[in-house]
Amino acid sequence: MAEEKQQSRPMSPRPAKVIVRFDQQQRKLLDFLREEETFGTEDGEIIRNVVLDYLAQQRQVQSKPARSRRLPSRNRGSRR
Amino acid sequence: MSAPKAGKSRIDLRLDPISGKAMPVHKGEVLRISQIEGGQCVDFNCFNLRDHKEYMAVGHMRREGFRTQAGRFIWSNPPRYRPMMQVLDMSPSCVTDLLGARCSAVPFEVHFGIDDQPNCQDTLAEAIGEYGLTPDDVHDSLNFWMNTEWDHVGSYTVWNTGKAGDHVDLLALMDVLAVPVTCGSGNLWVTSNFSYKPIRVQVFETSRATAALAEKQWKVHASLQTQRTPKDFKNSTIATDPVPRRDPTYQPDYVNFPIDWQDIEVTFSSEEFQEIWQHRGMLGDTDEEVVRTLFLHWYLENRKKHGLRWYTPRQSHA
Repeated sequence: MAEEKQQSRPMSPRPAKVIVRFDQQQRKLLDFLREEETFGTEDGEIIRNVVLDYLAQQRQVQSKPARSRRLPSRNRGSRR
Repeated sequence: MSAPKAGKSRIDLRLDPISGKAMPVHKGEVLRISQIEGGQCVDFNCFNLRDHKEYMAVGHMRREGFRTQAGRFIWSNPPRYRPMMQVLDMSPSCVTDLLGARCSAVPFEVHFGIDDQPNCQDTLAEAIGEYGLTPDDVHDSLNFWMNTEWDHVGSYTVWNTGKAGDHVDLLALMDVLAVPVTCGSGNLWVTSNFSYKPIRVQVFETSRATAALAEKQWKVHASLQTQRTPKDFKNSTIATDPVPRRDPTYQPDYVNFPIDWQDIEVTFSSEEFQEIWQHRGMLGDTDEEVVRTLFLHWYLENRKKHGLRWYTPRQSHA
């Protein structure tokens, strides 16, 4: 219920707290990043900074013109 | 990538339709498969020469892309997952396939009513029989000069683009039993443009340059703790009895079982959270799922290691 309430008000000016469940293997990734000392030291801090970095990377990608990845069509054959 | 020069040729064979050949290729040696007339699909199997239970894992190679290319590796089956060979050189008109498995007799009986059609399953089985292996040991093929395309339903084969003189060079990173065969379905399907053609197979001896590259690649790509061989197996005796027999004393020992979950509180500003919230539905149904997914997308894109190309969200979403 608390989560539902939290998710229903993205326009709220207050900071949003999200509880994220990580298993022990996922937490090892946090440990690796903690050793790098780039994204912080606390688990929540690391997750926050990594997520924000990913969103920034995505904004950068989306600002570039997309290239078509479709293959040229050829004479169709049969399924082997 | 510039391919190192191999030594002199020690095997030079013409494989007529519909035949194949199992041949040891030792670490540092180079196997060359060439088109003689062009347009012939070549199915390829590969086994560890010392342990046939380690063989090429086409499914895992497929995870790096639907086509292999120069620079890529022929990986063995997990849990070994070791580099067996590396594609040193490949003609541009050699289109490769990792989707077609290998042709077998059954579909020909179903589709054509033919019960004696040459096919790669049987050709490969006949070839590896020389080394005591059986039809059950044949595995899915890496197919050279097999022009497969795909759509939302599955894969299909189109016109073979192979040209006379095309070749593929494969550097052995371990001692392997390499098995190239001329594909048996190419006369009835477009795989080999509806006609069989011969191919040429050569093995070049190890040179100083190929030995050095093989050793370097082996050290880099076969040094992981998780690349396990029978000495690491709980059951280190390879079963030969085809009937599985239950061991009532056996206790499974699953890795990291049970899972240990931990809740972590993450705080975002209102503006940051609004941007995250926009991914709801696409990257998860809840805020928790979206945040975890964004974190792992970042990790896969920015910290994946060892040259294995796993799932890359940015590329797949492009």
